[in-house]
Amino acid sequence: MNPAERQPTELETLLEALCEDRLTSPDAARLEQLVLASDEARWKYLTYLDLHGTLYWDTAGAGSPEPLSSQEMSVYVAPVDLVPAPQPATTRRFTQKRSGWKSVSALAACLLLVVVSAWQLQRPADRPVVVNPPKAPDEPKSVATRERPSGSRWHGPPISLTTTDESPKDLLVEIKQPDPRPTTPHVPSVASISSEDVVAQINQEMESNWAALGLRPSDKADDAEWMRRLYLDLVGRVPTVTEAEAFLADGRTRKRQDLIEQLLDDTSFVRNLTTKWTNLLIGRSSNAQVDRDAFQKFLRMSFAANRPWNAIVADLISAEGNNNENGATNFLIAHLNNDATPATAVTSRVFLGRQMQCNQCHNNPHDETRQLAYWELNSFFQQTTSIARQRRDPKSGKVAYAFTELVTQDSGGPTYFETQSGLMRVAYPQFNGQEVDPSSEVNRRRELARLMTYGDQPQLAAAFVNRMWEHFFGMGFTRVVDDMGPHQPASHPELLATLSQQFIQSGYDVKQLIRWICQSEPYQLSSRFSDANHADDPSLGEMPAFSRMYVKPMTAEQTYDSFLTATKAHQVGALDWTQAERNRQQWLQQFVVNYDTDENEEAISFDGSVGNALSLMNGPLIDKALDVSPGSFLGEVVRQKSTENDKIRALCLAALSRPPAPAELASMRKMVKGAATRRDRERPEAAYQDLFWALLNSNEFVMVR
Amino acid sequence: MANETSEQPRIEAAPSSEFVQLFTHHQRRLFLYILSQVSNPVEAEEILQDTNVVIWSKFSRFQAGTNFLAWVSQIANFEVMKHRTRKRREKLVFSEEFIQAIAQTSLERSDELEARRAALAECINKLRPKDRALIQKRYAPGERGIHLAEEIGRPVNSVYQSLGRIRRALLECIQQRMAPQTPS
Repeated sequence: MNPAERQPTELETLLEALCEDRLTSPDAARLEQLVLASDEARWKYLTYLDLHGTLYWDTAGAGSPEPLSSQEMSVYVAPVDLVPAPQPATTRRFTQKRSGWKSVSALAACLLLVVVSAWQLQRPADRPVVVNPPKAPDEPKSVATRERPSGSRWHGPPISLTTTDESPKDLLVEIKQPDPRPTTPHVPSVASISSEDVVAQINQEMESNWAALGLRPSDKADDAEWMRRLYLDLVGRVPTVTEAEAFLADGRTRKRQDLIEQLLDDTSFVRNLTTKWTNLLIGRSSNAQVDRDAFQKFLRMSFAANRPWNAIVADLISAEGNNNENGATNFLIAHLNNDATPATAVTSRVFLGRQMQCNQCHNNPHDETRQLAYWELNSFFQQTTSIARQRRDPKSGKVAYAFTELVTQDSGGPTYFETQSGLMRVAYPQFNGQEVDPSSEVNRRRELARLMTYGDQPQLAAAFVNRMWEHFFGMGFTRVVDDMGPHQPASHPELLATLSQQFIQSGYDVKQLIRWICQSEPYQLSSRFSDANHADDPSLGEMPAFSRMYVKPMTAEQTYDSFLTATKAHQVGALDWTQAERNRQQWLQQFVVNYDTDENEEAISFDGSVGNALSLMNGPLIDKALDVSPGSFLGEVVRQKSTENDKIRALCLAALSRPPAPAELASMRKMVKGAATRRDRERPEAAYQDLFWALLNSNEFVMVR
Repeated sequence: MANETSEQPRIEAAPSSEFVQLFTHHQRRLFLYILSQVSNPVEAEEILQDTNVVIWSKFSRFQAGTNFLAWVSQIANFEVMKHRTRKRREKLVFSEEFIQAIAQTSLERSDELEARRAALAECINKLRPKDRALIQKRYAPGERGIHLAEEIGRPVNSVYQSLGRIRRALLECIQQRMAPQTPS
């Protein structure tokens, strides 16, 4: 008898319901009982779910005579002359799901991109690399197994590889000969620059500067102040009550160092960096042509692997292809409008710390940069265009937007621009005094990526160092963080140069730079003035001396995430990463204002003003925060069998990451007691709701001290 | 103090190609491992995504030559746990005990499961064209199963019955193909 035609067993019926998402609670309990009762049933469950999952993952290709194999997409990293891996051919292939499953295929593509690029990084620079969809899958191919030389740094030119199904020619990327410039002999081992040395250098520069200015630095920040600051700076949110209690109770001397390491290792650190750089690179506003999710996945995977910063920049500048699959393309797609003037301005400003946007129309009277230099940089983007691709929906027959493709065209020649006096002039691709062949065969963006990121790039490094310094101290070394031209003297020029050099030496190691900053003495200081550093006040136009921590307002994202952390509102409804990102994005949109300028400027009106305060106080977010239903944070605190003092302490720790001061505790107790006698006794939680509401809307909550 | 600082492990800049290869090769296995615990493919994908980030950020802790699957499934277990904590307020389908039992069996017999997956491709080709078309529709991108009946204009229950019959047929076919190698 054909087994498929017989009546299904009880177990099979339940498994069917599970696969089709129709399992009721009693069903689930029964299924669990059956499966736990026998090995046979357990195996049945596993094979059933495995079948379900395999069908889902491989997605039986509709209408194809060979459903699975025809959808296979094999990716090879072809061999050169390295040691062949002894696995059979099948182990070198992996099946990817069809595109259309946006989340998975985009992730896979991002991974691939990272994977392939990461693999590139360890290769000798002069070998050709081919990434190629195989014509004959059975041909023996091998993937090299090779130990990465320790401490080596990225010396290959920038390459962006995508795995679209273009002709093999397009995917063939040859690494050109190394840059002919004499490279400074690089220090192969990092041992020569221990973390401690760099931190000592920072401290020494700072101290001598304080002495010269006659400043006495503030006291060391207490544990609560420092911990809250570190959480917000590294993982973008306040600590939870549990985390705060644990750190405050920890009596070990090196607990600060340990917390730095712990948070650097947290996935939220990756998320926080991703948020920061997404906003800097493509802005907060949405653009229909830009795939924000794919872009964030590219950054997330890059930061998670701690890829060298110059390699990330190289990918962003030279990316090509489908913007769902190669997330890096979205950076330029967001900025190609108006003859790529935004791309020019943002590339210069964000990666190099030079504001050139004014030079679009005129020479800068304060800076040596000239209008010509602007258009020379601009001409690197002139071959690039983005195309909105459409796809016919097989079900409805309608043609709809599918993705955006970033394409390099075969065009060459100069760019024309008009001077203020009305003269027409030409500009050829040139970067930092280095000319690039303007003919159509040369891919200019790839050249630009090479010129900008290959080897020692003090300007690229300094711009990043300044940006990260500002992230942690609220002030960069220059008055405007991304305007580092000669007209803007740095407050600590030598330290900036040293840090930039060390950053290069470390192989543009982002985590390492952050570790140095967080361990440095100025980062340990309190934000309270000492008796002799009132002069150190950049808000009065003084150069920052970093003799105390400058208070930063939380960013909108930090506020949102801290709110969720403090109130555990995120537990009200489970969320995955992408969904959480979208919810936050949606909430943020109320604050974003777009300016229709040539540089795609935007502003965020989130500044702790009355308007923001109102939207926080009255929004659905605060409703959730003050929810006292079972399982909510506030509900749990209120119903806990604990003293009034403990309850108040828990709320203070949640919102402010510190226990209340004795005077605060006294007045809070008074308030809670008073409310309890006045109001109806049915709702004793009302007083705590009021208190928590006040704490969450306090100035202290939205400040990073 | 001086020693403590210099002993800090340096974060390596890039994973070895061996790691990359293992990583890509284990994606589907890992997905299926997670799915066996959460039973919903969409949730499993999300957990896989989080797991990947962790794997990728901890690549330097993996020791070449040790069991990659064992290593990544530990990370996945942790992410499943985190996911369950987040979901706590919704109803969880299965108990902790159940999840652990499943995870254990899944790991113990993971090679066997992997071999079955290879057999599936052939079994799909053996289906009647009508059945093959239906199962392809069911798992087509974006399909959640709920709207399938409406789309093909058949009563809901009859579609569910057909899908169940096809899945059982596939399982039976896989079982037959496995039989010579793994006598039970």
